[in-house]
Amino acid sequence: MARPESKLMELKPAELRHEVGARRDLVVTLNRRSEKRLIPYGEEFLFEKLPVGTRVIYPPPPLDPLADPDQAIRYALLHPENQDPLFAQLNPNMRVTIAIDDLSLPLPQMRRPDIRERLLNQVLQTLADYGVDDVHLVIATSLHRRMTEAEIRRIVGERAFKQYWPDRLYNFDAENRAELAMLGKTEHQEEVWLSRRAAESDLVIYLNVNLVPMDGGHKSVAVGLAPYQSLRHHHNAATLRDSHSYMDPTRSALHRSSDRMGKLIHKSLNIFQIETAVNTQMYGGMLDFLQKNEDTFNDWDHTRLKGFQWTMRNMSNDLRRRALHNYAAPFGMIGVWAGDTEAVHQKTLAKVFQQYAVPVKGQADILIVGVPYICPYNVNSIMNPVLVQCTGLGYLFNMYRNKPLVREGGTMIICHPLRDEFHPEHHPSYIEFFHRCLAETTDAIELEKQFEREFAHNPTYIHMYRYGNAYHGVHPFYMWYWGEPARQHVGRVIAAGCEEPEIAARMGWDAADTLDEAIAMATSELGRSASITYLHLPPLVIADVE
Amino acid sequence: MDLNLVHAALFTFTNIGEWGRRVSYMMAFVSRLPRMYIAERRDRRLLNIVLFEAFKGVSRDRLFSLGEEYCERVLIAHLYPRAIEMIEANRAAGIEPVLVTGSPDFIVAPLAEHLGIDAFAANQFIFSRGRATGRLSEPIMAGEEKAVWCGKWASERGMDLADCWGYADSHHDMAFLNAMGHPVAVNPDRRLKAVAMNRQWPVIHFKKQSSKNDNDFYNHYDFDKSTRESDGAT
Repeated sequence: MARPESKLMELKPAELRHEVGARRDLVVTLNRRSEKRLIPYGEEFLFEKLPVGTRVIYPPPPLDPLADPDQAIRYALLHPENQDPLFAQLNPNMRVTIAIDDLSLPLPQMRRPDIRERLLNQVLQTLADYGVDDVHLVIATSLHRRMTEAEIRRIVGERAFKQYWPDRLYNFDAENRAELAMLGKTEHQEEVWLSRRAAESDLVIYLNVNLVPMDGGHKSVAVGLAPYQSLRHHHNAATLRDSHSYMDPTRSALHRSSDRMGKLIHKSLNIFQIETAVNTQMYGGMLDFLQKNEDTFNDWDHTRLKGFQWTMRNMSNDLRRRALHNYAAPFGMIGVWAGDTEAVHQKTLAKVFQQYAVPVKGQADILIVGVPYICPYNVNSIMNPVLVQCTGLGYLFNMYRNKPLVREGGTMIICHPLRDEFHPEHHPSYIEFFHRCLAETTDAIELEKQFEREFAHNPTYIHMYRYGNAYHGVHPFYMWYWGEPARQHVGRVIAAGCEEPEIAARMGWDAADTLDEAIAMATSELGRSASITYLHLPPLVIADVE
Repeated sequence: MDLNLVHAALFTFTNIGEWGRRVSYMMAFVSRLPRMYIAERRDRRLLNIVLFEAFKGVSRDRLFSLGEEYCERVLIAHLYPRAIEMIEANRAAGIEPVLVTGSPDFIVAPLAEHLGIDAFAANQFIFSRGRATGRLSEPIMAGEEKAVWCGKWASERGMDLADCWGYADSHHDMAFLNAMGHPVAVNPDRRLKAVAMNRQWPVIHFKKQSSKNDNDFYNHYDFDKSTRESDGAT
């Protein structure tokens, strides 16, 4: 990651800190005097002593946010990449669709005003200035659950909400057949379906929030506004097995497929993509200690940690969940670009990697990760075991470029209580998937063959997706496929701190009461000299493994 | 107390004939309310027995014509559009709908006909010389009897209840839902909702008003056909 000295001279002080000072200290090897480490553990945090020699990878410190985000947005709209400025593309008779990323990003939800609100206000003002009236705002949920009125109000802001809700501001409905159009097939025979409203618009404006490099690009429109009939071409076990990793779009079959679809969509649609990147400032104020290196903890940090742990332990499940999900992160916008999707996304990726990437030498035998209370699919909901699997094996395993952090055949230790808890209104098909399908097989190919279509077309699940707030019936399968590269790569998964061992067993994992026990189980198999790496969260980090 | 049954009974008694008979049946019914309340607290089956006793003496013809009227004027007018869509969707997916209810058959039969449901289980009066005796023929559809009837019905057709979907809105139907492989709580009462959350049963909320963006569900492009055709290519 090191840059030539001449380049370093051009960087601002905060960026310089990133390039030179900070990243040298981001990989810490523990010794006997090292402090305990914070490890996310569902709705709590563990504070555990890790074995001497454990390598801890810390995320880079947050990049400085843009001083004036609104000004930066205005500049991006006026100086887009490889396209005319937004105003120059408008005429009063045109039909415009604005697609907006849903609340699954960023995580945790950000403080108001949300980036999408800032973007929308300026885009809508530009449209109004040029007399464009036929404007629809579509939340690009794809097969995610419909967002509630309050959630939509939160991300689009009062102004857009009052003006457009509910007739011209709504969730995308992937099962409303009248509102879908097939645009054609890619050279790989992938069917490309899209929201009819978007397909028949003169201009589609996509408002994206990029948390990790997996997001954005062609994936925004080709996935966000697409139904099952399109998604099944890349959200399947074979494609995901061929993705190394999801965070490295150049080596991800998932991204190659969605790029093919995106290119086909671009042939028939005029898309003005607006992408934003946020820094890693997930926790601030009283909780900023969560992002610190524990060796630098002072007494005040220890006191706050104890107070936080005590509070979390003594709250009821419901209250604790509510408090955590209500927390709003002080994310700062570090970049905004507009224009042609590919050109914009290249700039976004460069910024996002600048924020997340940490050079790491060599793989480990044992990788420890802590799964927090939230992932993109349980905002204001419950982190069920399938989602724990998806976060651990799907997201955290994939936080790498070049090579996985854990060697092939190594062991992954996932810290989470792993309770048999599901949200019956948000995740109804997950329940059946977990208790029925996984009881028969954990093999993703077999699950896809035996059950996927049944769930995808199940009328009850479709109803709950369309009219309730449920994820689509097929969604748990995608979550399971998401963990497929990790399942193919690691030899063993141990759930540390697991409260219900049968839940771990159902997913093919071993269970350990404590992290110490999990490490002992792993080292008993791999030897006492096995190398251990702990991927420190929060916030997020991407390891460039040499 | 189950207001659906009470409502159906009140409708019947207020339309049963001349004013004198109406008043007499209504008074008899009202005088039974405390018993009905206690009966329901103890056992749902008892409620049915006590409630349907009030129908003693009503002619079969009158009951069935009132049943049709009640169905047309009240039930059909209050059906949730999304519920009907879901029945149709299930049917299209090869899932045969069956109606299992504690309501009397003179109300349920026209409803089942309206919904195109061939099989239904409802409480049946015993008639003597064309008039209701106030007694119900066994099995009385309440509580576990619903589950028993479903099990029998399924086994006669070589089906397994583990493959069946069951929808109910009341905690009195817990036994019925427990027997199903796929229980779903629909607009559940407080107790059923608590159980559904606890046992991780899906919960559906039907609403009177259609929400935005709800177009016809099934009268569009044959999506499944398209999917089937293209499956080979993927």
